[in-house]
Amino acid sequence: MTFAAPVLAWMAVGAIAIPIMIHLLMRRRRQPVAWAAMDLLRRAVRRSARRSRLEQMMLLASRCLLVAAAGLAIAGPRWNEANGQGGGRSRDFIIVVDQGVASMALTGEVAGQSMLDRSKEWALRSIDGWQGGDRAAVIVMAGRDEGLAVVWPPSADASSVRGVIESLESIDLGSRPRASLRLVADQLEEARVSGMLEGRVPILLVASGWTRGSLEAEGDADAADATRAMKLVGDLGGQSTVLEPWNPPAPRDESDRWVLPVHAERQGPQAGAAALRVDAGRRGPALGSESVTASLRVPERSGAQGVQLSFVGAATEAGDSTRLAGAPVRTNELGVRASIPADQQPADDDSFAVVALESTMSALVVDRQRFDAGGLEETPASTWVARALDPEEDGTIDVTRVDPTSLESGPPPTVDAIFVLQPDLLGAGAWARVADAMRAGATVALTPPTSGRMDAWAAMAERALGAGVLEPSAAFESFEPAHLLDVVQPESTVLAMISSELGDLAAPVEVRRLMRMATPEGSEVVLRLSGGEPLLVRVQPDGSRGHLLVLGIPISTAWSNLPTKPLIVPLLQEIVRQAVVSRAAAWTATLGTQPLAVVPWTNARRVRSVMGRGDAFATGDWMAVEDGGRVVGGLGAVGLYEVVDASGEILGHLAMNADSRRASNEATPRERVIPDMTAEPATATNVRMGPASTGADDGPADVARQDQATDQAGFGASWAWVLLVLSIILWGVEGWLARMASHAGKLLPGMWRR
Amino acid sequence: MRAEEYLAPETLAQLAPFELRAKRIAEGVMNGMHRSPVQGPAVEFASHRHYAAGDSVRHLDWKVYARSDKLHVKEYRQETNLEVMVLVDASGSMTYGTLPVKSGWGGTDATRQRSAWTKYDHACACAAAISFLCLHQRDRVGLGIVGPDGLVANARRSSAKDQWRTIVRLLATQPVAGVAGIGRAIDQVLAQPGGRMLFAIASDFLGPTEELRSALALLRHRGHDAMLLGMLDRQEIQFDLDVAAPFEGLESEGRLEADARVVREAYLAELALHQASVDRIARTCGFDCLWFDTHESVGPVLASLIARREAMTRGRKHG
Repeated sequence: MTFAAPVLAWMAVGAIAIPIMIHLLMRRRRQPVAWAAMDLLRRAVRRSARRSRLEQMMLLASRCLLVAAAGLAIAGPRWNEANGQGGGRSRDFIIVVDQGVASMALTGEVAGQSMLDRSKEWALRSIDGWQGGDRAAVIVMAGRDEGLAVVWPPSADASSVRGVIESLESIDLGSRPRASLRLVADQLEEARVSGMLEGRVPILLVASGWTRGSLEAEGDADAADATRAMKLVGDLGGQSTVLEPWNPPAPRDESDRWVLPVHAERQGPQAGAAALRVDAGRRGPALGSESVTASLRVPERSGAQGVQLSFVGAATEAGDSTRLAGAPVRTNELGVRASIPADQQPADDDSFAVVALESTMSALVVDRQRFDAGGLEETPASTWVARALDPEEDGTIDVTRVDPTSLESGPPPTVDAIFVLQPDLLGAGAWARVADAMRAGATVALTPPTSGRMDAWAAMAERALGAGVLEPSAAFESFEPAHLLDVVQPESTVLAMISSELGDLAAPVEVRRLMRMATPEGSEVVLRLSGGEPLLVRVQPDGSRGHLLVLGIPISTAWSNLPTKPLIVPLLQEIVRQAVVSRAAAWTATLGTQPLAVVPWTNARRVRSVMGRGDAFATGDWMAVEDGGRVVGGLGAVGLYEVVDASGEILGHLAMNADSRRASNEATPRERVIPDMTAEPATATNVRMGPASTGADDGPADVARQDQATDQAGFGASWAWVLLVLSIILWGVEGWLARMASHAGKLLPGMWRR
Repeated sequence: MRAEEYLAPETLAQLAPFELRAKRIAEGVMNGMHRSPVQGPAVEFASHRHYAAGDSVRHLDWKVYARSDKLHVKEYRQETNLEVMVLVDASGSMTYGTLPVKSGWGGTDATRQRSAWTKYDHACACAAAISFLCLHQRDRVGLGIVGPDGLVANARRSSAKDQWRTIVRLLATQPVAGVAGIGRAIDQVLAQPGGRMLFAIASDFLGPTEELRSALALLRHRGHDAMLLGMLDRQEIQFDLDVAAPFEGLESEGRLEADARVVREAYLAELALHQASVDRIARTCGFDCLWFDTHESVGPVLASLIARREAMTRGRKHG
């Protein structure tokens, strides 16, 4: 039997003297009472002396036991010295708590309880189970390769350790559970060498939610660290226990009046301003006339204050999505935050979105440099393209003309779109540069040369781009009379912005000659002739973030009158805008699906938050990006992130949103946690699964398992309740004995006779 | 000392309908309302007996002679007055009392000691009431105050007018202390010349019962009648003290450590046994025994005793 508070236990033992002292004080002599019937009284005293003495002793004993039992119950008795860890030796609890970004997620088991709360509750239970002489160290796992020792060496001050654990908060960085145990192993090694652990037993407790991905993100080297720590604990006679994995709750009941998060609608590239729109929807019964207020907040990176706009609308039907249109926001910033007041839905349904706004767009026109002859027939294709992209020459689209030979070497161009107008002039090196740019997100627009054979360059282009659209064996097809564009064009996202005018724009366009193209699976016919022949085909090759757009005609009046018709301007500009969208615009991820987010840019090197949680608009610290796009330390906090390459150029923005329905959060399977933590199966057998916090859904089996695990982990079962019950019983016994001893209320009938 | 201080009007009112009758035959010197062992000139027929030489022919029953031709003489029972001897215990235990004294309740030596209505006060009230009742029916009443050596003071039996005041004055002025020798006092009374008497003994009877048994047996043997008037304070009856303190006797018995709460049950049992013993002794001798609660009025209790005696006497007379 040990006590959580030995001082209180000693005080309880000392308190036994109180009833004894009262008993003795009550026996002290008082003023004598005059009495007539002394003979009767003397006989009565003689008659009741034995019984009275017995009653008094019993009464005194019950009072002493009552005081002792109540005091010991308060002192927190434990009864695990015989079967607990250590066999009576004092223990050193090494509590490792996961406070990474994934610990922010709500468990759904208890209202408002996060993964961190769950871990802290479990850790605090070990403090509750302290025996005399126990100590505890606290190490948190987050933000770095190895854990951070918050309390080390182990402290015997239970209240301080408790305070440290209770004050832990989640941070916006990922955690590495296995790697965090490296610090534990190092500290234990050092403590063993220094003799600090002499006569003590280490108890390692690892508390995490074990959401899926938290272990997969680590390598074998990290597992070796975990193995080393746990093996060391076992060698020292201790025990390692990991918290039971979080049990994902069932998806939310969508039949309630749940308001879905607000999403900002992603827009195409705009110059200087954009009309932002917000969609609000709900699942379940309609709200009726009740309105939903959505708040848009646009950050100003140059200043502290953002722009805030409010919209009011109502979701009128179940499953309906009400579009709340707002006034144009005069900003070229990229982030927007939409939220619904907290009294209408939980705060984690705030939604971040990236609005693809660009102040400038860039296009590279690859063509043989020639002097303009002046006539329409002699106008180079590059001239047509440049005039179409920047007709006002105001720099909205930055057009750069380069010779095909300039692409043979050097880095891939970092532009939104590349117009290859003379493909037969590109060598293998140039095609490789163009392919790299396309894989990085740029859109490549390709036209056939005005003359020459097709087989040579088409084969080379296909090898580099892998699009499957170009057919080296195909021939050019001439039409007499010329074919018109189909006025009913397929609904393509490329020309969605001009879809309402596309019929009028396409009507005057004639095509007299056409390069035959294939339409492989996954390709999209953007424009076609009235005979059904594809004129503009878009395809996204495998492994590429950018698109390839192949126009079946060169930009030349010899093949078509397209260069002289109005369609050429919106057509080419939309190609560039879509290029911006695909290259450097919005990427939205959901917290939980990518606990250690992989940024979509292969050349990304650093990431930082540009709009954090809460109302503050601030930039965070830079986080490095590994090869493959994985953010070191994880990227899981809700917010808007800016991604830059090695030169510091912004590659794009990533909006990380909370999973409002928590449907995508998954837990690591229970049977995988311990094996994944340790590299050696032999060590895994020495690691036990600790109980999770007792939830309402826990069944008897779970409770029994928890009790077993609790004893095994050395927590010890609290006997306070047993002593409390005993105190209550003793209280009743004391009252009964006191009443019996005082003979209160006993009037013997027949005593009074006349 | 005024009469009303010991004899409240309501007590008189409660006793007025009754007559204190001798259960046994009384031997008075005057004609009265009580049966006498002497058959003589009286009006109440007793029996017939054969004529003997020397009998007065005035008492021959000629009607019987006419029917049976035998001479029978009529005998008549003489009625005499009652000799009443009131003995009051003036021992130290009689000074116990817990009822606060109110104005107009008189004052005795015991009252002055305790500032409370003591058992002695109650005994005095009983003695005064009985004396008044007897004198009212022209019986002769005497008083004996019982101290350690028997009678410490006495008033001769008399039916004089000022006898009641003499008795009351004697009760009020007599010191109350020490132990009481009731047996010795009875011996002293019996040693005085006189006939059969009615003894009214007012005491708490907390002394040894053997002495009481011997004394009452002597009275019974001599043909006297007796009434035992037991005086107990309510605290003595209920013993509901909530103290654990030494108890000190009033008759120099010393101190006794006791927790009243603890010994209460045993004390009440001992008291019950003692009362039963006194009752049994009185009943064995054919005497009456009555216990008084000093917190209650004398009248109703005493009236019930006198009424019971009157009923028994009337039944015997007519039976």
